[in-house]
Amino acid sequence: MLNYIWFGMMFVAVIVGTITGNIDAVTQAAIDMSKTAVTIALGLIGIMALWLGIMKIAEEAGLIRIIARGLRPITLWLFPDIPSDHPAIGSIILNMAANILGLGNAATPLGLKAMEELQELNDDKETATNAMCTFLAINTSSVQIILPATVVALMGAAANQIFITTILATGLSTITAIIAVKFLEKMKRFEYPKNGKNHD
Amino acid sequence: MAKIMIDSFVILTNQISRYIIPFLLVLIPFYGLFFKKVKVYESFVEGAKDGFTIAVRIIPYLVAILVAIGMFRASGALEMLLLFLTPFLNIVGFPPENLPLALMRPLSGSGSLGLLTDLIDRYGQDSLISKIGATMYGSTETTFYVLAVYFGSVGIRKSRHALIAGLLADLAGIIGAVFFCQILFGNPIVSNQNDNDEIVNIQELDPSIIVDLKYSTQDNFLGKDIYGELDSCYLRKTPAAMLVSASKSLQELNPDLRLLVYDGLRPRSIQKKLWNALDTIPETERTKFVADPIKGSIHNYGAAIDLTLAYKNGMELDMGTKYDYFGALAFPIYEDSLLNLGKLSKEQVENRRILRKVMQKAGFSILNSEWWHFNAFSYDETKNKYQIVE
Repeated sequence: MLNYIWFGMMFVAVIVGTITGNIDAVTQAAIDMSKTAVTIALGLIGIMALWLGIMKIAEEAGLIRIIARGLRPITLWLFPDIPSDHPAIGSIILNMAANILGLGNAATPLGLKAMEELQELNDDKETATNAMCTFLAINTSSVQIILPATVVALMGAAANQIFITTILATGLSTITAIIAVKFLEKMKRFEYPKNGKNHD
Repeated sequence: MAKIMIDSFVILTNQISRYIIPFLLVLIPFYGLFFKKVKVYESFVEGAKDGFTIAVRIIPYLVAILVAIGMFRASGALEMLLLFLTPFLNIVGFPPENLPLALMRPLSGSGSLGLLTDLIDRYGQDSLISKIGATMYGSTETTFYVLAVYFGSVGIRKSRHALIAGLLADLAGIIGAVFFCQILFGNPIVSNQNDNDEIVNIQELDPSIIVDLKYSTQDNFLGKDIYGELDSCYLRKTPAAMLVSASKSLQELNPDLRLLVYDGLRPRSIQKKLWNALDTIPETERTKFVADPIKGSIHNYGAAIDLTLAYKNGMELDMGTKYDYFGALAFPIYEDSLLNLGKLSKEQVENRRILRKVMQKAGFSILNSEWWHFNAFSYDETKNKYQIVE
C-alpha cells in the first residue's frame, strides 16, 4: 500500500509540476527534504534516549507487571473465548501494558508472542479468530496513555497541553474499536467458518 | 454555567498536565531505586542506548517520505486537492491543514511522523493545527502495518472484520482529536473577564501606528466617504493593547516597518450601509464579503481590525491585492496554491506572513478569506464580553 502511495506522490508531483511549470521547485524540494530528514532524525537522538532510558527503569522495576495485574479483569471480558489460564492472556496483557506505557519496542515482540499463542487455539490456521481480531483492533486503535517520545520531542513545552486531548481521543478510538469488533464479529459477512471452511 | 465549568476543567487539566512529564521523570526512578533496588543509572543508560539506534534507523524512512511529500507539495498538487476539499471540510469544521496527516496516519507511521514534523515546522508548536496533528498522531496507530505484521507473523490471510474495525477506530481517533482540541484550545481563555467597555483611540496608545481609515475617504469599494467626521481608529481596550504589542514586535523584527490600520471599531450603522451597498449580491452570498448587520461583525464590537504593513513614510507594502478585494486572491488559505500558480509573488506572500506573524503573536486570530482582517476574540467570546456599538 505504502509502495503505491509513495510512488504515487512522486509521480503526481512530476506530472503536476510539469503542467504548472513548478518542476524546478520539485527538484529543489527533493534535494532539500533529504537533508531536512537527516537533521530532524539527528535532533531526536537526545530526547529519545532520555525517554527510553526512563522506560527501561520502569520495565526493570516491574511497573509493567503491576499494570498487567490491574488489567486482568478487562482482558477476561474482552476475550471470552480464551481459557483464563491460557498463556495468551499473559502475553496480551503485557503487550497492552507496554502499549499503554508507550513502549513500542517491547509491545511488538509481546504482541507477536500473543498471536502465536492465539493461533494454538485456532482451528482454521488461515482465518483470524474473534480474539485475534479484537486484539488487533485494540492494538491499531492505540491504547497509549503516555505520549510517544517523538511527539514530546517535536512539540516541546506544548506537549504537556496535548497530553489530555491525546488520552481523550485515544479512549474514543479504543472504545470504537471494541464496539466495532463486538458488533462486526456477529455479522454473517464476517462469520468465522464452521469446520475450517471459509464461506466468504 | 456550562462554559465556566468547561473553563475551570481546562485550567485544571492544563495545570495537572504541566506536571505529568516532569513527575514521571522523577517518580519512575524513585520507585525503581527505593522499592525495587533497580540500578537506575545503569538501566537508564542501557535503555537510552536504543535512542540513538532508533533515531538513526528512521533516517531512511524520513528521507523517503519527506522527499516524496516535498516533491508533492512543491508541485502544487496538494493545494489543488485541498482547494477542492476545503469547502467540504469547512462545513464539518475539520481543519484542512490536518487532512494529509489524517489520510496518512493509518498507512505509515514514519510517513505520518514526517507530515507531523512538517506541520509543526510550518505552524509552530503552539498552534491549534499542530496540537490537533500531534493528538491525531498520538491517538491512532498505523493500522495497515500492524495488521500486516501481526497477522503475517502467524500466516493469517483472512483477516475478517479486523481491518474495518481498525479503520473505524482510526476515524474515531481523528475526529476525536479535532473535537477535543477545538474544545480545549479553540478559544483561548482570557483570564481578565471584567474587561471594561472602555473604547480607546489606538493612536493615543501608540503614535507609531499609522491610521488611514478607508471608509473615511473615497478610496473604498463604495467609492464614497461614509465615516464623515470620524477619522480616528478606535478599539476596545484589550484588543487595542494587543495591537500595541503587535506593533512593538513588528518594529523589533524590522525597525523600518509600521502597522497601517484601515479600519477598527465600525458602528453598526456603517455596517448597514456596507451591507446595503452590496444589494446586487443575494443575502446568503453577501456574508462572504460583509457581515450581516443584524448578527453584527466583530468590527461592530470594537474587537476586530483591518490593517496592512507600511514603511515609516506611510508607503504600503505589496500584499498582492488592495484592501477589501473580494476574491480568492485575498484568501490567506489559498496562498500556497496562488503562489505556485504564479498569481502571487513570493514577496507578496512573505509580506502577508510577516503581518500574520506579529498579529498572531499578539493573540489575534486570522480570517481565511481576508488577509487584512484580524479578530481579537472569537465571535461568541466577543458577544459575551462587549456590547455592539450603534
